[in-house]
Amino acid sequence: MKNIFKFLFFVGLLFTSCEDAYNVEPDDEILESNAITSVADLEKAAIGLYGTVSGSNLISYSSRFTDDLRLPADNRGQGVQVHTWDINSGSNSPTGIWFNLYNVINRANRILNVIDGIPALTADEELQKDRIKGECLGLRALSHFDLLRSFGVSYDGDSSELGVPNIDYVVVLQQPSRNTVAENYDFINADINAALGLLDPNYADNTRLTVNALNALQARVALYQGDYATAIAAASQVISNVPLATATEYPDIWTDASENEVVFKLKRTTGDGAVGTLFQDTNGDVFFSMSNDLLSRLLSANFQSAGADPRFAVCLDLATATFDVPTIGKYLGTAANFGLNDIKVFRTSEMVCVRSEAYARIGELALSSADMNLLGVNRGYAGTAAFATTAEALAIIEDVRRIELAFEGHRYYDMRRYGKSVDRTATDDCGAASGACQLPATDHRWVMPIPQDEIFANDNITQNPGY
Amino acid sequence: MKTKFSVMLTLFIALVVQISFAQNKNVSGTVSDESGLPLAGATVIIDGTTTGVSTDFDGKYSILASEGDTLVFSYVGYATVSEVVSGSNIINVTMSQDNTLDEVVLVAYGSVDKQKVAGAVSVVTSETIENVPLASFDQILQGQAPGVQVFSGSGQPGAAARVRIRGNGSINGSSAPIYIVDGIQITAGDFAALNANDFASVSVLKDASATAPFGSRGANGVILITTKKGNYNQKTSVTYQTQYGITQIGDAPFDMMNSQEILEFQRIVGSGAGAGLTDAEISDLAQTNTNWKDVFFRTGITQNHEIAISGGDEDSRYFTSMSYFEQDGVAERSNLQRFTLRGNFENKLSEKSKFGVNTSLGFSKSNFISSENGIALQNPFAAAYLAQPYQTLRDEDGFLITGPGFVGGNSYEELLVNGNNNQQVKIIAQGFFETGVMKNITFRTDLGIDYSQDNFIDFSDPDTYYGGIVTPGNEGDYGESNNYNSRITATNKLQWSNVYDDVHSIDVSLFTEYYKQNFRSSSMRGYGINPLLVGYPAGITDGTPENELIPVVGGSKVVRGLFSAFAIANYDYDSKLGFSASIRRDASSKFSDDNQWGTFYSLAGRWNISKEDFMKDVSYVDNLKLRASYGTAGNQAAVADYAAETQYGQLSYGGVTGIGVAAIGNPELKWETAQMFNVGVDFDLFDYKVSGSVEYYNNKTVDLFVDYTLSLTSGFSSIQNNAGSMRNAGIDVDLNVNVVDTENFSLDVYGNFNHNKNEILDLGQVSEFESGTSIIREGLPLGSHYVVGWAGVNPANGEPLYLDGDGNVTNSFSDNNSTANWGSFNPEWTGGFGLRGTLGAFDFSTLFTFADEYYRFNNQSFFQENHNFAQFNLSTIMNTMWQQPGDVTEIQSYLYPRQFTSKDIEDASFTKWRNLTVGYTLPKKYMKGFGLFESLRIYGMVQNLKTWTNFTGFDPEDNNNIAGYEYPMPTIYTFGLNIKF
Repeated sequence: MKNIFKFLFFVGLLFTSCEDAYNVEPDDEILESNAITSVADLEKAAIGLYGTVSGSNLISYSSRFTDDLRLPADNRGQGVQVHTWDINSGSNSPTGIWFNLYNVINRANRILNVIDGIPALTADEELQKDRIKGECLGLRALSHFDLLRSFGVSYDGDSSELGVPNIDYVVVLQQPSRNTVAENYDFINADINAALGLLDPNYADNTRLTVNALNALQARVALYQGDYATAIAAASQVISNVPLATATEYPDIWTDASENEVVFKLKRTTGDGAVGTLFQDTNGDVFFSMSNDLLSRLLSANFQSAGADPRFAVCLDLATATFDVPTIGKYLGTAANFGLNDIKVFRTSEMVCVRSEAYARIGELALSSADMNLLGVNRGYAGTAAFATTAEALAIIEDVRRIELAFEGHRYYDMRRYGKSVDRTATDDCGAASGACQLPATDHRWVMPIPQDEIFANDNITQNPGY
Repeated sequence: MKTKFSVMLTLFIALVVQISFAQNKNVSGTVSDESGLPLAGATVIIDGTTTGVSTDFDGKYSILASEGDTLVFSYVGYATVSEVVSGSNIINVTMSQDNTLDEVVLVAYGSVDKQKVAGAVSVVTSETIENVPLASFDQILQGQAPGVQVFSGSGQPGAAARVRIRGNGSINGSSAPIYIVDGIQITAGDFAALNANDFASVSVLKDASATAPFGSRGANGVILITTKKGNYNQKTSVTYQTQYGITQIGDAPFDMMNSQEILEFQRIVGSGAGAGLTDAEISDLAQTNTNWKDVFFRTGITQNHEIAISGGDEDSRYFTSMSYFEQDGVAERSNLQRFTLRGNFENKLSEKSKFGVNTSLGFSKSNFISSENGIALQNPFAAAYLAQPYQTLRDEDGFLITGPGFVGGNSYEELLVNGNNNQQVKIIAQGFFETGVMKNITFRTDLGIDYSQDNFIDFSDPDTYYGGIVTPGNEGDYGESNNYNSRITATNKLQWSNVYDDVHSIDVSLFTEYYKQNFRSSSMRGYGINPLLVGYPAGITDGTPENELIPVVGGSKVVRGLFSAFAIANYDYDSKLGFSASIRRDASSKFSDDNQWGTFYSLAGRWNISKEDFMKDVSYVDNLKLRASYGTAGNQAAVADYAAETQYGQLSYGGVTGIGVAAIGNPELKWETAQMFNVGVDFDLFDYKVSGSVEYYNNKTVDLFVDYTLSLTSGFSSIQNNAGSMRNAGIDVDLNVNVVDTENFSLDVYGNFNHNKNEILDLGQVSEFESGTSIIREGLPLGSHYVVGWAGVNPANGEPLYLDGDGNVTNSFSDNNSTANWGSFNPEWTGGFGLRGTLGAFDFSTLFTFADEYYRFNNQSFFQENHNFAQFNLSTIMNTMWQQPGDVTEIQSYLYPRQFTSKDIEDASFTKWRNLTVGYTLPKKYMKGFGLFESLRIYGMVQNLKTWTNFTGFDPEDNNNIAGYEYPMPTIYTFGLNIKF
């Protein structure tokens, strides 16, 4: 009998279950189920959303693809594929752009999914909720627009050609198909308008989306789309709210010492990727220098008549530039962090160009040249002659945009918009082994390929023509 | 209880003595072993009776017996001796060790007579592990057991090796076995702070029957280690062992250019210092010819001191050891210092109850080279070859020459002034209590803790070249990371065993086990180092937004656990036939609630053919056993914690921290499961002259983790799911032949090998995907290289030629032409062989290991056989570069880009002469005079004597697919002394 008890005692010991071995609560993991439960969490998620936006990948692609850069001897292959248009569906750069932008969209959608259910405890929190919701919608619009202008077959606002998938839900196993370009514009504008309805015009932090930033986005979208009235109206709002920097203030924009005319920028601090390293390594190796073509434009009478155009010294790094290797000076960073600068997404000067172009396209040539003069005055010279024709206006605006917005991620899209071809001269990499001399405006590579990874995983997606 | 028992025993003995007294005479004598040492506790029984005595501490016995009786002398581990009592009253007996008959093999959660093992278990004895001057035990396992592939990737003292048992069982998860020391799981590959001389025996469990008791952890095999324990009734013995020697680097199988050659080459390609120079200028510069290998490599020392004490009385036994081990690497700065302590103790509380503790405490301190295995100029194994011979280490004033382009000087300064080290504390402690509950039932509980703590530090001086280019600040840095890892294993066992009709023995054990791992780490790195405080955190400058010297801090915490209930049953019929079965239910913290529990089982049977009557007349067969097993085991190492749930991670923007979704969870995830089949034959033939085993296995792993590709519009590229399967099939052969066995000369030839054929069977959604420079493709083995084929150089114009996807020669290079015709970095054949024996007082042993059908990417050749890197030194093979039409060469003209091709994949098959040992044991007759020692042995040992291979990198052996500038295995010459007091 005693033994039986003893036996049962040990059997009891044996079957002491220890649930804590396998039911382990997470410690330094944040599970989605409890990631966002308060307005403070929403704010964290909004910060994370901004932290997701690359910004520099569009600058990289746009600069390398076009006629603004050439390859110095130090380049050991960095970015050469894009520069020589060795682009196919497997190429890393378009894949990275597609992936990053949809990553932003996904994170925005995950916030939008839960935001209405998060209780606001105070009136301030209610405002904050609205703001975050507006920012999510705004970043979703911006990302869709960047996708559209990179991968969409057409920029025409009425086009029924292939755009990109509009994603306003959390995708996991779904395989979305491409919407038309027109549907993309509708989606983007709806998001912008909804966001404008949510954001308080008093928000002034230019490292986050504000009413001014949304107006700037609306103006840019409308210009691409061909909705010139909206472009003019939205750009005007921005121009009056955020005045242009003067010629003396202008250089400080690029050291991040001045916020003049910076409507929206992606803040970059120690530890973030340094945008300047797209052009030059921290060890001094120059991956890309300014093309002779762009250098000759900078040195041309159009921009040097006054002799005081601050853009010359901003675009070039005069401390290191030589005629052989004209190094890029727009993103030199700080003493401790070479190349680390904020990424300017919207500046007022672009809005002036947008409005000028929109006026030109609707035949308001006087208003158009007035805007070009407004910009010129703020870049250190007296004025430009009145435009005689729309074609002349567009040619000058294109030239100004190339200089004013150099290395800010515009040139590739502008060339596509204006139907330009890339024509590199013998001194700009033409004739080297790479042989990347000319890319006609009709070439299929002006539209980025849908990534191979997407095609593989998504049965409903269609590749762009030519790939 | 004990007192009562003693009284009864005394009474019983008295009774026996009384009854026997009248008819018997007193027989006495000494029982000793082969070396003449008395054996205490040997049993002397009169055959056919229950009358018996034990020998005392001096091996003496005395027993009452009558003439004609047979005395049977037995002792654990020794062959039983029978002596007939005749006229003499004194019978002295010498017993010889007999491992073949009574060998007990350690298996999962217990041990079993070798003849009753039904699973695939390889045993490595302590003799083969002992005194090998390698700090990491896993490296010592090389070539010791069939199917156990041990590839070492680094000559850094104490570096862990890559261990695979019967191939790779997982694609995305770990394929490493688990290690169990005295019943508790310890961190794999973490042996630098353990003393392998403490290990008594190592069992490698290879099939399902052997590993299934470990359930969800057993799929990749198990390495079971027991530490030395001492013996009951054993006189205290004290052993002192010491070893002293040197480590040296071997010769590289390639030559680098001298100054004249590289300068001329630079002139041809127009880059580097030689560009544009005249002949005279070149010969002037070429007067300097620095041998950078002499700068970076050295002859290091290695030494070891160890005292071990073991012994026991009737109720308790103990083993304790203290050791110090020190080894310099062949590269400056790298070394290892280790201190270990062990205390093992066991006590019998009563006939039925005992308890014990086994503890080990280790402290090791390692200094590492910089950027080990990295294609980086800080790495001395890169700098030694890539530094320019026309540069010198020091200027006329004796100062180091550093700065941009001074590869040798910069790297040497980095090695000399900056630092990279680790201190590890490792504690393994295990205790148990065992007691009889009722007839045939025992209960046992075990508790074990494996704790390790690592403190890694690396720093750079702001005044060094590399310290001066640290971002941010360009003023040096100091980084520290600390890891704390503990694993708790608690096991309860209830065992019932019984024998029916003398022939049916059954034993059933029920277990529950609790396992929990707690891991914590923290790290920090600061910048702007004060030159007076280099190497200490105090030297860090406080970070401000203005100076931007913001320190980086980090850390993590992981808790994971398993709870298991399992049962193991064994049945034996008269030692002829046996069956074993096990079933285990595991619950893991890694899976969702629905998939938390997994069930694993095994079945095994054996037939000891040699025990059957019809084999009685087959005199040349001593043992013949056929065995087979099938079962399942799991692998959860592939799964990240909380992979079942969607997780958010930290993201930062503008210096503010936020959150964002970081991984999409898959609640369907479950264990990878290995389905393992094994059949084998064990044999001892010709009076144990020939022994060995042959086995065939076929292991299929299913539910392998593979990626399921998502539309990128999800913001993610893939999630993991259980969709893959892979097969490892092969044979293990183990053979030992005793060629000569005389008193003065014995010689054994031994060998083992494994042939493993790996095949990926299924990848789910896809049939292939690329993984670095490899391709994972259905039908191919894991680790198949995937590159464009090389077709030589066109003699007409120096253009490199390639193969397109169909095997046609083309001059255009495209990654799309990559093919998988270049073999795998997982060898098909591995094994070891050698000799061991004695000649008079000398003993000798040697070991060779080999691998075949083994191909590796030589990334080194991409750098030193590449005109683009002419600013660094190049291999002399570059002297044969194509220069004019008609040149027939393998080195293309510098006018064309150098690509990665099949040319860079080399046959890395090798045979290594791993070890040679010659020892001399001072004969007993000389010992008598001293009285101080019981035995004394001196020996010399050489580790890594020679490598035969066609591979052109440093070392064909590696723990991965690609050879960079890796730390090669050194040759180690040692001289040692073992003294037993």
